Amino acid sequence: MRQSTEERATTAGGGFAAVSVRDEPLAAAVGVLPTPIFEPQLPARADLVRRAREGDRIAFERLVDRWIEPAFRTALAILGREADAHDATQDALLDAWRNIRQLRDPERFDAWLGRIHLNACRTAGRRRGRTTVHEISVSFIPEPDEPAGRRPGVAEESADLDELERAFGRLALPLRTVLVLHHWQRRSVEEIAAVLGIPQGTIKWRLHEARAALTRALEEERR
Amino acid sequence: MSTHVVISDAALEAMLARRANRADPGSLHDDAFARLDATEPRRHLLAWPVSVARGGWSARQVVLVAAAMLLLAAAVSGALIGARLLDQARPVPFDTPPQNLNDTTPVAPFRLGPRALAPTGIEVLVSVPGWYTHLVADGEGIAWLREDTGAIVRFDPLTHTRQSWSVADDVAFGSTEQVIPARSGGVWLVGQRALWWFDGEGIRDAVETPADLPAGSGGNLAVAAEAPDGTLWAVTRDGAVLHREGASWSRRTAPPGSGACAQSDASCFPSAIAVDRAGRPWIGWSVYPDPPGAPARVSRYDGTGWITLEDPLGRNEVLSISEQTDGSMLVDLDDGFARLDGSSWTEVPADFDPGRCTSDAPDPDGTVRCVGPGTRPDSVRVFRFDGRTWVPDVEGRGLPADAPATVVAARAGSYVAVVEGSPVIYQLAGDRWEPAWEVTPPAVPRPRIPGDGRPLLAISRDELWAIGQDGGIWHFSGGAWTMEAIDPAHPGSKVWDVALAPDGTAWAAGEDGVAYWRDGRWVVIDTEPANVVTLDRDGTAWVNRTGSACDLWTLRSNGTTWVPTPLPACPRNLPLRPGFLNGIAVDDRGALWVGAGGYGGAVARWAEGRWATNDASDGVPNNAGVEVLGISAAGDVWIGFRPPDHGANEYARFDGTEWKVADPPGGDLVLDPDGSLWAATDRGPAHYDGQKWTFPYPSVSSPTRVLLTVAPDGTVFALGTSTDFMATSIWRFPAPAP
Repeated sequence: MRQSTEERATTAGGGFAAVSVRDEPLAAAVGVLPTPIFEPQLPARADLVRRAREGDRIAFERLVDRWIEPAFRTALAILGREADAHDATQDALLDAWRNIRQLRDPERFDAWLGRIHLNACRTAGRRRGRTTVHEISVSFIPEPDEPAGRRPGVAEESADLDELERAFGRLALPLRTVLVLHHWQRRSVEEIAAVLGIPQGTIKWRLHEARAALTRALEEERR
Repeated sequence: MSTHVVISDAALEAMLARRANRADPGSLHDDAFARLDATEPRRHLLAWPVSVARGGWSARQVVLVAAAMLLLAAAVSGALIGARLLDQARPVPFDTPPQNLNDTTPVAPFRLGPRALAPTGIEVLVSVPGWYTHLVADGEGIAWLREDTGAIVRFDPLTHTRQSWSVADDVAFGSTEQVIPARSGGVWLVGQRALWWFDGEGIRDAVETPADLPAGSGGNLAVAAEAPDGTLWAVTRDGAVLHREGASWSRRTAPPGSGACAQSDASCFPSAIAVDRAGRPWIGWSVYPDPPGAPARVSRYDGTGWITLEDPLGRNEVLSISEQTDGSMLVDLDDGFARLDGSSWTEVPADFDPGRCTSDAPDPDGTVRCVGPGTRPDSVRVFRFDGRTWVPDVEGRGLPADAPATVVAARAGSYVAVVEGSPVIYQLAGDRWEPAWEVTPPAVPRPRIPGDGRPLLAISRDELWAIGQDGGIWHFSGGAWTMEAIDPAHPGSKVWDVALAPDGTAWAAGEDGVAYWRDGRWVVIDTEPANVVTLDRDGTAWVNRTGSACDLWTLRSNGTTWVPTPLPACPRNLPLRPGFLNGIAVDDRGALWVGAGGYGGAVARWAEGRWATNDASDGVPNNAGVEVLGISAAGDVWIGFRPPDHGANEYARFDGTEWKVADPPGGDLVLDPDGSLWAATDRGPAHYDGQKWTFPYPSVSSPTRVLLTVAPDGTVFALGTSTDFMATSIWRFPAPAP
């Protein structure tokens, strides 16, 4: 979002060095920054993976215990329906457990699980059109403590979140996924490329397309 | 007209955070772990288990013995050729090398140089323009626009004449993603791998990108511009900078350390380009705000090296660059404007909301115009950049003031404008913006077809069924679309699947049950909601009811009524929940094949009173989520599946003895009713005749990548989306040349 003209109408002659005028993510400001899904890899964690591969259920549960909630929220952000998010997360867990013996490199467990989960989200999203479940949409009520002006020059131009969410829901699942990974999970393009198994260039372009598509969807929503 | 960022990062993040925190996981922990209790990690098996238990034998032994028996049987009689069941496999020796399923025929290159338009024979059945994505003025003051449907429009503001060209007229119009003015009149249409110079009559030049660019989308063109000397500059999505002089391309990619975004830089992508009068390309690089501190930047190539200027205010996106009369460059960023003179970066204030300006359409002389508030509450004013500042230009009422707009100066001092989200071309007449051209809504309603891969069913060249955005089922027949609810009393009920019976009858499954189409109406044979339907050669309908996790039934006619019969419970290791049933087919021996999506997905076969599921690691992963399943005329079972550790679909064929993983040239896979295969690819429909892949139609990049359907008469239809994934259309391809 553009800042107001007055805030930036200055000359910055010769200023080619990178500057660090960066806003903190709004998510952090309103206290909903997602917990990182994957904890740092520690030697003990690799051991847990090895034990899980040998059929140690307790080890597997310890591996995924703190993963479940953020994974569920990621799925919810992508899919928009609680039931779908439940299914996708459960499916991913079950699949990971059933196939953990196929995981050759314990150090890759987190990325492996993350990809399983996103693929489960994709599958859940595809089947939405074939289910009979009807979910009543819940309109958003802003949190009382949510600041009206999140960033200078931004709040007054912010799209209505309800409209924005409806527009977001109209995007193709791959576009929703990259937006969630990038703008909510705060993952880099490199990380997204790794977890989706897609070249970085594709991710970059998909992010670009996703923003453009979201803008158009919002326009469509307002027509 | 480029897409401006009208949705702030803050709003997007807030929306996603709200969406993600709307519900709590609740009992998810317990539920998930309880499900783990019921299973164990799988051990690797080496082959598909046969359906008859043979105590004491390993799976591999079982298959080897079965194969030996089959080989013996084949030697005795050729009658088994064509047998397709697992345990009556065709006499294919196990050591037969798998066919090379990746053979492709080369795509015919574009004919270079001037040529007349070459009609493709492709017809657009559904195409309702919503708005214009690009507006530029060429050197003669003619306005050129691109509809969101992909059509290219030429609008003469003096005569108010409008011409448009679609994919039916030439492949160029089915593949254009950008429109840039050509210096000698007309426009360059920029596709993924080619550029076409179009003057309204013919293709004056056609240029393909270098053949050695990466095959993926990273090798596709992102931005392009024509230099004053007539050479072309282009940048691929991966950041390769290309320069075409004469008939050859050369690369001028900025090396690492130059400050420009290198091809390996994951946070950068090219988003704008301009070539100044000295022939130097200026490339705008946009960034994603991760890692922090990497701002958008502009790079200039001076013939020997690169100079890179970073935005000192740390913004993310360069939307356009245009040269001014004094040789400086005006840069439109996502949050304002800057002026670059080669050694300094100067902010340019504006008395209007920069967010409404889409200035990637400078006039041929480089003048950039934006719209802003007028002096009256109901008017909109055009601002012109004079090389130093924005100065007020013309003003008028009648232009919507709530969306980004593009305005260009056209012939004889006229002004033409379009507004995002509107299918209207405006022209300034005195002090009013008048609609100079407006798309007339179709007299007969047309479906809005989503691009999410809902089933499409082709009956013949002139008859098609499609499921619309709202879940209703639409019928294309006699050149017109009509909505045909299964139960006319419930016009809003949803349909989830359509299928073709061997006799050519259309079947549908949805909220109002299962029905077939006869004499202009749906005949309901079962009122239970069902989400999948398929027909076997005997006319039996196989359906999955949606009332429980896995609820497969057959519906058989006894001559007077349809008798529903439940199948035994699904195999425990097959997660056949509603919606996970992504493929169901019956082979000519009466065996039911089921493809289950999701994780833990599998292929299952119901025959002789029992289920068998794949549990092998010989090509099809144990947990492959099956997304497509079909049986070819030769009896091969084909599946498209998504392995858990791979981002792209893979395909496998079961020929009666084993699975062979194939790699079609991308896209969703469909079975032709004649048993051959089709794949929807970025280059158009690809056909597999059992030996090799061919591309029988002109290479068009959009929208054929999404979904195909093939009628029994061989007509190929493609359902797709535009590059912004919003507008959809259905293309009907001509019959391929014999």
